[in-house]
Amino acid sequence: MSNTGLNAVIEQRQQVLEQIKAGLIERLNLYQNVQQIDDDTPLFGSGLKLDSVDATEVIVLLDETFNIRVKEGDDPSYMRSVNTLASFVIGKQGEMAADKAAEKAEKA
Amino acid sequence: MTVTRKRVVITGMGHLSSIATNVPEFKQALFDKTCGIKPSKKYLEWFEDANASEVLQPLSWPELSDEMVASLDNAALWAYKVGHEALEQGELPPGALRDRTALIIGVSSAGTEAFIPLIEQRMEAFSLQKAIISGSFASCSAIVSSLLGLKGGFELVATACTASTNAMGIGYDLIQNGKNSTALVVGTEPIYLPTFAGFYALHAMKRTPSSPFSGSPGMSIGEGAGALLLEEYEHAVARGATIYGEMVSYATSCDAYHETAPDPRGEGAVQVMRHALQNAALTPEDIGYINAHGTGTEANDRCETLAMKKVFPNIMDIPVSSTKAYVGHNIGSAGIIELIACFLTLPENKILPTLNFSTPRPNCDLNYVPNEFQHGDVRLFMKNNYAFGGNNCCVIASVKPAQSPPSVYAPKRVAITGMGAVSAAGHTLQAMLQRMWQQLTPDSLQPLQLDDKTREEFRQMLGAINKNSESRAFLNQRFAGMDIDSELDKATGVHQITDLDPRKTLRRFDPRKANLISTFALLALTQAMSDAGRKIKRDGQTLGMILGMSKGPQATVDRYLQSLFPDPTKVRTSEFPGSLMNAISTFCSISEGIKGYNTSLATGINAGLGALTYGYELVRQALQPQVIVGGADENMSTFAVYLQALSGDLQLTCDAAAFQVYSNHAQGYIPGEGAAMLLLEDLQHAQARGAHIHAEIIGYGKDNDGSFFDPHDVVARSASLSRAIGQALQEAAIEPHELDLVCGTSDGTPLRNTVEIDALRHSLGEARRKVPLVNYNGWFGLVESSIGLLNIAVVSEIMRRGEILPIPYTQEFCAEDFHFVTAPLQQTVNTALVIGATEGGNHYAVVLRKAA
Repeated sequence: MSNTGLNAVIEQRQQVLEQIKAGLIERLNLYQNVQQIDDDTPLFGSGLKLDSVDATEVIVLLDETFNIRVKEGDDPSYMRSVNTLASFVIGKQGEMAADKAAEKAEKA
Repeated sequence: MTVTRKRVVITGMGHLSSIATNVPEFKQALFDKTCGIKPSKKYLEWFEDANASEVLQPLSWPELSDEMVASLDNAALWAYKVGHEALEQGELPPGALRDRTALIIGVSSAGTEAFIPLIEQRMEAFSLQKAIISGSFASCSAIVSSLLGLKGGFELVATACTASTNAMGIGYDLIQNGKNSTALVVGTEPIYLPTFAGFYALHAMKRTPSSPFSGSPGMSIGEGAGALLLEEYEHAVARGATIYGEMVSYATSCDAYHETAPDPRGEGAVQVMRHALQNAALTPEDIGYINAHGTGTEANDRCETLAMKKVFPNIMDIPVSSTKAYVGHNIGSAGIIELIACFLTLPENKILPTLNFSTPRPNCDLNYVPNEFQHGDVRLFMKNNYAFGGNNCCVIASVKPAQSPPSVYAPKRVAITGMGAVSAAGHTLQAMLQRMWQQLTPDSLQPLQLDDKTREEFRQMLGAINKNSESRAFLNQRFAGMDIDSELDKATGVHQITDLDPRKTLRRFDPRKANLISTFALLALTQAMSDAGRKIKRDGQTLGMILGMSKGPQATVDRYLQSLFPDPTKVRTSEFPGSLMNAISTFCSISEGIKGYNTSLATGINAGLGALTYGYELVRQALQPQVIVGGADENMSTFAVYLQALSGDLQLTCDAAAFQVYSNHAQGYIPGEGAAMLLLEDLQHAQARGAHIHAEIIGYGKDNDGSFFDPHDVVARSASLSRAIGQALQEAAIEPHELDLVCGTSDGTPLRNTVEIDALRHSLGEARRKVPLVNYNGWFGLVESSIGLLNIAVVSEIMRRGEILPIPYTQEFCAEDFHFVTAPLQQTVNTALVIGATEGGNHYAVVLRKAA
């Protein structure tokens, strides 16, 4: 991967992480700022201490911020930490971009 | 000495749901196995596959004027309708019999409907008249008691999905005290967008009609109302009433586990069933049928099944079914509608089926009476309901009277052994009392800033009123020629709690789940527990908690409602459970592990005194050795403060010294915030553990005036307060001249001053001239739910010190024949009377005695 390509990937990931953290803080009354949440903080258990009700908020956050609709078949392990959530978002964004490209190609 | 519990029978019923408009129709619909859950036209607009059991049939109110109907919301109208039916069936005519009938309403979201146009940003549909009459949570009981002519005192139970079952329990306990022979118990719940959206966003709803214990999980929401007329057995027999069944026992408990999820071990559910059995000295083998909560959600059905297995060794022999596949989950009216279903079908030796039953789910392996009625001659049955926050409730009943041996209890004396408070006058009760005794005037008055947006909201609202001729007429006296801007420009303040750092003092505190009002409640609670020397070590089930609520968690409700638009499917689920009235008591229970009886009474101003009277009964009847009673409030939004003042007779001010209670020219009123908690305890229990006793509660009275629609009827109001005082003195077995102190809780407006003064004049007679009369609201502002309790805390301190503090600020008094205290008074106080009223005309009186 070229340096510029790598930088773009890093930047995209950073941006997604920031958006996720800001969304979590805003939605879940977390008394923290973005810098205080480590990328590898678990969402549940000893980490941000979220619970099942909060999980529904995370799903709405994905929909609102990233336009991602979680499907029944999605492996729930993306909910493990802030980082896994970011990977999930980036993966889905990739899928959506591919779908769009395919759609365009079909139309063309 | 033991007392035999009075038998409580059912002598009238009322019903409204998607499948029936009255009791006979409901019976037919049940035997026809009618499922009322259908795709909802209203909610399909926002939600995919929205299903609900909705009241869509046309209803009429022949006894009410059109104008009256227009100003009432469905919660009140439906409660009135089913209450009316139950009283008619019970042949309890207006007059003497209704005068001593109590009214207990269970509801989850009252007072919402009037504000739906504001939430939906349809200003033109907003009716200020409707908002004033039925726009406050507490108004429901006041409206219904006035329409039905019931005057035996009321309460409004707000424990979400257990509200109406819990309301029955309170009615049952009231009848035990002997003050009321009859109690009308109502559950009412119209479904509004906030409730629907909350359950939908939590993924709790099923996309097809719910099928409890089988098939794919999920609930269906429903709406409706139900009423039961409870009556003391001998009273019913003496007047020849028809008896439809007996309420044998009940209990409540709290999981103290999570704000929405049930405890996976089902401990709170196990405890509540065992407690209800034990209260009537019954064994699991006595129960022939269980009408389950059975919402259809995976978690409920699994935990509930597990809990029943733990309680009943013979569970495989007991039919269990859920009525929710007929009418959905009716939230605040669920329990009472389900009980009525039992009282209608069991007498025919038929056991209600669980409709829509397909393949049972894993962990659900009982006899759920799938799809078809089963034959059964049931002597005693059980009805369970469970709610958000872990509020649990269990009722045991029979369809014929006297099916179980009489139960007994040894009545207890009730002591106050712990006190705690947070107010603008001090972050702890001790700090507040110290300040008061040092005569340091409050410095907590915060001016209210009216921003442009709020000002604009008022202009719009008043503009809308002026367009509507009916509301213009209704509000004629008030707004005629009012210069709204100059009105809004008047300097206004509230007593506000500042610089609070709860994490300093609270050991278990989840700041993420705590809103302001819950934080106040928890701070007062932990003070009261530490004052009483009460630590919870795996014995949380021996401590109950009853909170009185007025406006409740308003800021959370506001945030939740704002998140409904533009897209209600993306509502803030984390704010939904916190926006319910029972969120404060259950938050406290979860934080501290309090697992005993748990109830929230949203009866309005002075609801804390209602909580105290109920807590008193729980201890007196030996149902719990200790009960925390309290109340909590956070300041209202600026819009709400102005709305309340504009629509009432409150004179806002920014001068603390203008809040002069019992003044002959009343001019000020200052809202306040905070919380107060008292730990009530069986006196012997307290003595045995060497606890310090602040005071003993030796009697109470409760009565309502039935004149909600004529708020200026001072005669009716003071007569009602008088009756409450009479009951309290009678129970305490003391004469007016034996009182050493009287403490009122009037907010200082001429009307409320006059009611207290007139009632005391009548009840105390000549003694009024000598007994010192006080009221300390000027110190903390009007902390709505808790003023009665805050004043009781001050009165207890007065008993300890032997010094009566003066009424703050008031210079010239509104009566000359009373002994208003104007300077510190060295005097022993052994017996004191504390009085108070809700804004809806429910009156309380409590007599305290200094500990020996």
